[in-house]
Amino acid sequence: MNHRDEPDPPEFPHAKSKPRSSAGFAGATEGGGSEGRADAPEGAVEAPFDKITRAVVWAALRSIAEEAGTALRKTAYSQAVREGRDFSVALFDPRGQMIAQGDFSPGHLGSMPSLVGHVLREYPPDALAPGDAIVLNDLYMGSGHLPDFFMTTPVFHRGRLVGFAVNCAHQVDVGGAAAGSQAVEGITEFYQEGIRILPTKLWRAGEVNREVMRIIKGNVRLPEIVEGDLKAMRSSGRVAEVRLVELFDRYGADIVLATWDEILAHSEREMRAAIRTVPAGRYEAEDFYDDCGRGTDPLRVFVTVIVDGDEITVDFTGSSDQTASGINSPFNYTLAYTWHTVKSALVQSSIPQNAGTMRPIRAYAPEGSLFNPRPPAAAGARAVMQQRIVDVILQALAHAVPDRVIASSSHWANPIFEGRDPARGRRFVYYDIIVGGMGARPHTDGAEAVCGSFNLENIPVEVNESNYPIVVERLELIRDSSGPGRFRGSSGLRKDIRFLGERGKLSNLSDRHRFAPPGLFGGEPGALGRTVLNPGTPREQVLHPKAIYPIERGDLVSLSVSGSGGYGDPLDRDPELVARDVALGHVSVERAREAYGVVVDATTCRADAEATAALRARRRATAANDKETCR
Amino acid sequence: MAPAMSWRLGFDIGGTFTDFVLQHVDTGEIAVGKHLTTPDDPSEGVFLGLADLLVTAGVDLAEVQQAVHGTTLGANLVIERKGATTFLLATRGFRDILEIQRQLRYNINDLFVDKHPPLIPRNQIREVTERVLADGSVAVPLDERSVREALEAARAAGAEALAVAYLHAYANPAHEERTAVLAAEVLPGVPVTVSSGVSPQYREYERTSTAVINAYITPKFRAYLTALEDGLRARGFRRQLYLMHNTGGVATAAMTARFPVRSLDSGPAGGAILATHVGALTGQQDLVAFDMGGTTAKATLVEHGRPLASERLEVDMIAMRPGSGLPVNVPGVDLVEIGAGGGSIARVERGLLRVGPESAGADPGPACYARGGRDATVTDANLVLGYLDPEYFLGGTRRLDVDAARAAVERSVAKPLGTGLLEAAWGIHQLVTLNMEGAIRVVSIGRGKDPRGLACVTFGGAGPIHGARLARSLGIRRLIVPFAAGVASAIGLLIADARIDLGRTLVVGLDDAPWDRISRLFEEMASEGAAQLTETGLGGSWTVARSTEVRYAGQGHELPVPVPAGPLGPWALPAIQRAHADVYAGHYGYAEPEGTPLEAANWKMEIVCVSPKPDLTRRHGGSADARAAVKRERPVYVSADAGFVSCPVYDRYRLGTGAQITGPAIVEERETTVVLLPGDRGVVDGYGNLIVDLATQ
Repeated sequence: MNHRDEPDPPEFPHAKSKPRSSAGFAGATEGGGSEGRADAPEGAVEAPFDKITRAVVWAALRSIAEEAGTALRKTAYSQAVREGRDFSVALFDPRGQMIAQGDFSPGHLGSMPSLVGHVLREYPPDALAPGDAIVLNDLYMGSGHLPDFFMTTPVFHRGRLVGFAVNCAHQVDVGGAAAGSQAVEGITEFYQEGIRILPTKLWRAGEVNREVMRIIKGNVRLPEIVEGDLKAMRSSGRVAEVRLVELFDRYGADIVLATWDEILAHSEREMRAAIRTVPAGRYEAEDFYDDCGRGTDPLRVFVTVIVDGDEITVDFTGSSDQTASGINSPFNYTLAYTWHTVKSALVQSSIPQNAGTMRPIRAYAPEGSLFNPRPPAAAGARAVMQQRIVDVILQALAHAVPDRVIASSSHWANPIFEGRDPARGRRFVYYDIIVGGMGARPHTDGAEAVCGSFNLENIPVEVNESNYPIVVERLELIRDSSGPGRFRGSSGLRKDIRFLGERGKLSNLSDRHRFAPPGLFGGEPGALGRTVLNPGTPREQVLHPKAIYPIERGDLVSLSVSGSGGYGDPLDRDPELVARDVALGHVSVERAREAYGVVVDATTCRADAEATAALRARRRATAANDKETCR
Repeated sequence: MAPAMSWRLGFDIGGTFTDFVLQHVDTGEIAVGKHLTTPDDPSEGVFLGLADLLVTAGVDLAEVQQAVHGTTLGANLVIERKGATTFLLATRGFRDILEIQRQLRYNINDLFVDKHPPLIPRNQIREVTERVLADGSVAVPLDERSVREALEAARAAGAEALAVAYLHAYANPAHEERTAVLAAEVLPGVPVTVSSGVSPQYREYERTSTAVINAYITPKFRAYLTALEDGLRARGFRRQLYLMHNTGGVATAAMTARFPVRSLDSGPAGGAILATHVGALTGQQDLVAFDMGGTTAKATLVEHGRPLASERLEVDMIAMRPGSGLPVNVPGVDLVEIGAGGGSIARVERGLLRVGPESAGADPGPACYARGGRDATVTDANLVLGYLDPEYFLGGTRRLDVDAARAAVERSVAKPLGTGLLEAAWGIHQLVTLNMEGAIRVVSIGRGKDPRGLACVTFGGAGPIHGARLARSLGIRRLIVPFAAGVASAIGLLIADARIDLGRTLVVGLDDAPWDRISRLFEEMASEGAAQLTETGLGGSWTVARSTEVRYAGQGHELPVPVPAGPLGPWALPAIQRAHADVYAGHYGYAEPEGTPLEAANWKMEIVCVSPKPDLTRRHGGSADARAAVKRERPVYVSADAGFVSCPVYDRYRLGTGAQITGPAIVEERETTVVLLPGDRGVVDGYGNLIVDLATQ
């Protein structure tokens, strides 16, 4: 026969492959020549070998991260993880550089690059063994608040430390002043926010450390759920570990590690190339958080985006000082959303998300400021800040790359209800999340009901009602709440929740109740959000978005999140699109006339072309006049 | 006198081709045909292709005792948004369920990410005053006036189909059922789908989506079935038409017309059924079925002689990203489908080679089809590498243009990467193989099964080209290529059993479960199932399997666990606990301590009427001496080290039982090409399957 004695390609290299001096890229990709390649001199690696192996290893890494994420979601106990997808998975090289991440929550992942470093400081490589899992939730080491637990699993291949699998999951409660551990008011330092764990082995050589687990369980409101989620994190780490070991088995440790380096270098080059397409300059934008609790002032967010050659710096100087509340963004969190936003605007997902991609993107915030607070500043509610980081950076980048940004998105509400469930005779914590949509785009309307910053799935009404004493009476898009523009923003969302528990408390967490999401290039802001207790009754009360209130059985809490900003002048919007919005009930006839200058027949929902042209001409003349007067 | 009913007919409508298989009941002899699919009216292509095949085979439709049909019509109606004008009635306050969806940003790094607009626009969704709670109790009685108003509005707007999906209707369907009665009065003749009928399970978006999709496809699906049945009858067919369901079971056309969503994407299920059957014939209970066509590749795990099932499908995914499509809560074969087919486009993006998920489809198709396609595809790479014979594609009915393939690979991949032509083609071949490997990992390791212990049954037009390399990179030792692998899904239609799947949601803690109530649920399902089985008109023995979906109390995802037969009581608990612990550990590597409280959500019954299987033994001729089947030799690219190696090309139709071949080798049949790598040893078994022991180190 015509084939060689050496079968090609072999299945797994651990089946003792012979070193081959002339392995082409094919053999290595298939796994056959891997051991041989390790002996090859550095320069001998052919370009095609690199490119194709890199694609193959990268594809494998992504699928490992995804698989580990799926294992976490499916075994989790808390709704935040299993339905809300408030978790992340990433893979690291032995030096602690992030190589790949699954498409999960960006806030965790941006914080991860320094995470393995913290673990290694406590447990240097020779203090790590197979079967270990190290947990931490320190807010300054981790993602900026205590509910996010990180678990690091060291990965060994034939006795050698070859990398780490890290996952992070938002625990539904970690103790502290309020259920859910993300109170805003009355919090001045993180010691009030719950249990804080510095890097600690929760599993040792495969055995759970029961003492530590007992300490954790003794400090949280829902110990069984937290323990269940920690086990889910452990099993996710094991899935990633097993798959990484297989990858090393197949290609050989040296090849995989060299490929990882190349993936990082390649990602960095590509990111730099993308940044070079942005005109150099300094671009500024400003916006505000409503406040940090009842009776407090708005918080200023000011960024200067400095584009210099192939690097971008986002400078938060000029933003407010750190606060004496649960609202502060530890620098890791600021960095996470800076990276995420710049990358989303410039390269979408075509470049792997890893440490290389992040190198040319820097963030700066003065120490002691809102975006770089000093310990022991508290930050339980820092998640409420993330959308504004995205919004403001995009507003600044709009000056430079108007076609690659969107107007400011809606804000979400994350109410936490606690109380006693009379039917089941037990305490409960019900975590919900209500998410509006994204800001208008350069060529299309904003995407409805999709979170513009982090990533999640909503929790089905039927699931929540099956588990907690609540009834949702309404969940709908709010008419006339979208920011008008040539392309309009997405609509706000309203969810009305009837509380049927006893001895209840509501921790409200939202924003954009005072400062609406702005539009771009003449686009107008979306409607404000609001929370109302018992609307339309004599007991109606507008609730503050960052306060805790006692609630009673039968109370109705109505949460509305803001609409998002429009893009371009609303008078330029295609009248047919306005008429369609009227027909679908997103925009009223009055609003069509006022905001868009479009006359729509209430019965037929058709736009009147002549009347519209006349009205728009008058409106444009008035606008020009106003401008003249202002001068 | 009636002619002897000696034949069975299977036909499967795919995106590009409609495949036909006729099989003689006694001799097992088969005849195969292919006709271009006619998307505007798929029945047209069926009748044209069928007429050709009947003439070639010398068979009269009156001699056909059973016809089984697999189709992707339902999925296509959704993907192309060509369904009926559909209205949805929803609980007051919840008209936006379809628009809000689950809110997942399936690509987090894309600022311009878009989700599907709802299948039906917001002004076709009407709210009704009513409310049922999670325990099935009624908080707000059904306001019939509001129902009538909504129905009148639907009538005024020309509604062709109606979906009704109220909150918690799975727990108490009374409001939906009453609404259906009113709808029959106000909208006579308009088909009505109630969510509690099509999918009595919780999670409102998924259930509503299922009801709406069923309603949306019902009018055209029914019209199509009627046209098909009438046309067959007019051509002399005297028996019932059966349809393949997503589960891989068959049911009558009339039963399918009630819930066409159950046959949404049933063609691929036929492939899984065939692979399962081939596994049974060759003594492989555990295997992975691998089907690669022009646009996508599908992988299914077969365990203990059964294809794994899934509770939910997703239709019309965007770029194959999970979570981007429309969910459908109907049971189906657990297929993982990825955008990797012969037509998958290769390109270089920011210095990285990528293959798929975009496909050149049938038009313009790969560059080598010479129909104007300029993109390099997997088929182009396979042609450059010598795996395909340009003169024998589809048995020689389509000539492939090698120069066009080389030019496309050069232009789209080699040049941007700075590599040679062969390296580029080889890179494409390997990368698409790796992508498919990912899909098989999802259905094997992802389901707690080590692929190294599995066999791989490969079929579809492109599957056997990649099968050997794919299987060995997963550590699989045995590859099986069934006879007529290119039309395997159509053959699977003839093997499928009649099957009824029933389910009810009742969320209970198992420690003190209301066993009497659960037993009653099963009794209800049993009598419903019996009635449906009678309707199929099929004889044979029945098997009944009961199961429930169990989780540790407090978790959100359940795993299926068998439920023992007979009236239930606390005695059943230990068996359920043990089974759950085993399944859980199989999936996640550990189980909670014994006695950890369990909850069950859905209770299921699966009734299978085992039909007689066609005898496949005598369907092929050929010689036991493989040398007699060699057509010629041609150079084939074996590996980067070995480069092109001259390989024998075997004519599959001349390979008889016992014929042995050793790789590297090519085996050609009209609809597909098998590539064996160096050291692979293949033997043809008594059923015409090519059983390949893959070479190892």
